[in-house]
Amino acid sequence: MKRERQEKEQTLRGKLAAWYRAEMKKTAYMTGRERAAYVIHYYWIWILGISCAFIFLVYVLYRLLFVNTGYWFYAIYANTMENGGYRSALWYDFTEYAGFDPKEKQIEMNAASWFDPSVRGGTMNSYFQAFVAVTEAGDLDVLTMGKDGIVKIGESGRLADLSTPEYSVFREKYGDRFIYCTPIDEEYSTEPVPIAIDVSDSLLVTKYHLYEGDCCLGIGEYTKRADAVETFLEFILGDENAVPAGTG
Amino acid sequence: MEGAERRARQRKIIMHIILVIMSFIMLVPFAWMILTALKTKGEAISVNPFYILPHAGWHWENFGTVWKSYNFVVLYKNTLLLIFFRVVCACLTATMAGYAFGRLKFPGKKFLFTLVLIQMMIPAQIFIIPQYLMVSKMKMLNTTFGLVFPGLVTAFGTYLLKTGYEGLPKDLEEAAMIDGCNVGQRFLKIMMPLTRSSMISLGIFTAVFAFKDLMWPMIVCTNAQTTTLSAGLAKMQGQYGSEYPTMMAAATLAVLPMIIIYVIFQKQFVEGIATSGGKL
Repeated sequence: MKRERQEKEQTLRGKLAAWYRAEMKKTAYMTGRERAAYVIHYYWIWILGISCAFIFLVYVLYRLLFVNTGYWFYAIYANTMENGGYRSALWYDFTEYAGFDPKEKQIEMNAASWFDPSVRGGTMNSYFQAFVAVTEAGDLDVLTMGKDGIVKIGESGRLADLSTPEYSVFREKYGDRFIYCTPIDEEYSTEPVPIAIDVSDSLLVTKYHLYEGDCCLGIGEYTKRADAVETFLEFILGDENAVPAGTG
Repeated sequence: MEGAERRARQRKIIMHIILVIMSFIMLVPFAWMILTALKTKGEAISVNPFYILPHAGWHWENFGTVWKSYNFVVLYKNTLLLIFFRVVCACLTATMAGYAFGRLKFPGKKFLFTLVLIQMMIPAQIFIIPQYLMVSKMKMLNTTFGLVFPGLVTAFGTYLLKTGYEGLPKDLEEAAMIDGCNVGQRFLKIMMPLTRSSMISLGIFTAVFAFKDLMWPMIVCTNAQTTTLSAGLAKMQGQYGSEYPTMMAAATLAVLPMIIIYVIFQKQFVEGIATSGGKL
């Protein structure tokens, strides 16, 4: 097997060497300019392909090694009445409160999503697909919407179970605001589990008017930034004793 | 004889009347969009059907408001880059894969082509999460590459070009082979130029789908500097809520590039639909 491979390599190497010798012979009596014209004429597609591949490789390496992407915080405010997205008053106020540097990482607030799982066909759109993608990728930290909708999403298992140990701080602080639902997945639990926090009296309703009436906040199932969510909750619920992130 | 001619002329007139009415129906949404863009908010939400034209003057400033609040130059640039790269990548990869599947013999050809067909049968939404994860891990979120990524290869294009290559006579390739052309030369110099119409069809389809793609730009380009017209418009819906004149002004500005592309490539659009049997 090894011998076969060696023979094949030798043949390939031999072929390449023969090709190189033949090309050198052809261009031996040409001037530099003629030689360049010859190479461009016969090998332009190879030159183009290799150049594109090289540029792409350098670009990918540059992004991987030197560009710092990612999020400080990622929220989707679904079915809102007012703008609470990028560079809105809410965005500026929270960024300042939390002490996040937008140049270093992003603070993503998406207030342009409309989906309602509590109504028939309410999730048959791109907004819901986008929500699922960012949740499954572990990027989504917070989802806010009305109670009926968030309960339906909680039942499907796309929101974090707030009874788990990693959310013990939330349980202590906001246990009385928890919204419960029974998961569809009976293997997970047949008992109601907390999946959201009632924030109907928060700044999202009273100051920024994103919602009228009930407003609940769920935490993305795979979020890795529970501390940012905690800061956000302290911000919207006006916890005066809270210490903002980056300053404590 | 004269009666038959008269009947034929009458049929022609009736057909023309029907076509004019149908054209009018098709144009109503566009006319409504442009007229609403020039109205005040009060006029726009008026339910009186006779309020077709603006009563309180033509509010051209709605276009200015949208142009200032959303950087349309950036949105146009991103959308055109998305269309350009998707069309180039789709045509490049599909023509090579189509030639290989349509003309070459290699082990596992049927199996690999079945995989291509399966990809066409599965809803695109299934691929969204893995594609998003790949782009995220490569740190390519909010980049043009991130936008173009799902369109680097196209199963539909491969199928379309394969059919195109299969329809070409074998004699051409055999003649080139006798003249000493290798596989690459046969593909580049003989076969590929002959599939021009299929490539144009694919280019048009890819351009239209790239232009109206909403979900992918919304997921990968959350930054205002990297987003496209479709995703930008979706965000405007959130920002302006019931400000229909402003939203319609934005929509009018957003459809401009596609109208220009259509006017330039009108013949190819019609040919493309005829050759591929597709619908845009």
